[in-house]
Amino acid sequence: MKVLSSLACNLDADILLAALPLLEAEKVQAIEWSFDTLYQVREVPPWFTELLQEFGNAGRLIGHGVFFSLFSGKWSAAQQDWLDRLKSLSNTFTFDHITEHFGFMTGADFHAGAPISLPCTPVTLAIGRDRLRRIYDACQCPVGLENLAFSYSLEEVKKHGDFLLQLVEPINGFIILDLHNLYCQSHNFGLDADALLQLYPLDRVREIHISGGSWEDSPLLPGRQIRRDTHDDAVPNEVFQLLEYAMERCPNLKFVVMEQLGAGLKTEASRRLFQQDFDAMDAIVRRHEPPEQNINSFLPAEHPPLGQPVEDALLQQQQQQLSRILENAPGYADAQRLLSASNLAHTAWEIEKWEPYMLETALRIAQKWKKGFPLSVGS
Amino acid sequence: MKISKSLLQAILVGVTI
Repeated sequence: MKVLSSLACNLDADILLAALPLLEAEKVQAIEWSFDTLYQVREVPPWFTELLQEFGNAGRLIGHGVFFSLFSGKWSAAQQDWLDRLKSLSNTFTFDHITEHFGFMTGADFHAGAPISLPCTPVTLAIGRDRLRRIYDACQCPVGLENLAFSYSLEEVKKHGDFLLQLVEPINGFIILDLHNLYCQSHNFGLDADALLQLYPLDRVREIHISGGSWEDSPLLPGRQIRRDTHDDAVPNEVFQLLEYAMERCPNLKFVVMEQLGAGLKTEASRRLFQQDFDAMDAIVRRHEPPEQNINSFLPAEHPPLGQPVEDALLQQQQQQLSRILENAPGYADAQRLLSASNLAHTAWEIEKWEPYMLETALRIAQKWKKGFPLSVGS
Repeated sequence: MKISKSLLQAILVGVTI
């Protein structure tokens, strides 16, 4: 099946102005919409609705959630509202698939915080699988999960692909392979990116993301920088190389999506670079010779009735403690001291193995996003 | 994918003003 060159396209003036020449030249084969980011928008303009419907009617609209917080230990009314909204949107627009991020959100407010990793245990696995079934129940189309850009330890990086596979298997779900996230992990833990790619279930990849990011100094890591998935700059050449390598190994691939936040598209020069990056991605996609047909529909064989949401009080306490520490600790040493005294110590979280420079990065991420995301119109 | 000129124009107007 033909792979579609796609664009992450939200109700953001800077993104749309950058995308318009690509849309006009008929280069954009599909769009990915972060459907849960319009909570601050009073009224969606009819032209944006029409854009979504045109792509949806052609089977070329995919939905990407941001705020569901898949692994929250306690089920919330806001999560049920999110599902109800998804169900309603799925009646208005035709989504080819729906995806969410791996992790739980640190913020106390539903629309704030950053997705943070957590260990694979029988409890987290049960909660993740339960939530994925609920997402499928709401949208009635294939459901997938995205790999995280951030991990605390090398061991966690190596287990991530297997954890994703265990989560999606019961609903015959798929994986969004975010290659910039993989690039971040590869750089931050000194791993060969091609070798890291082999640790993911590549036959489960239906969508690939590419994007840019930024470098950050760390006083705990003299002479080296941390790679962050900030979506605010051009796509690095290494990610384009990874795309060529990965496409050959993903027999069920259908969408390759370029993402960038509007905050990085304020100037004419940045928009031109964005368009050049899309052209470079499109050239790779066009050179690719896909298999005759995709093997997996990614629809579940059966869908038994949903019971009560799975919850775990201890996991909820641990998540609340970790969120509070990450969002408020003045620095790495304070965070480490507080974690050692918390109920995450000497558990499956393995905080004793966390890399100091990654804990410091987690503080920066959580404290940056605790007030929410700049995802609304014209932000 | 081809989208209509009127929709492209509506997007342009919408995001510009």
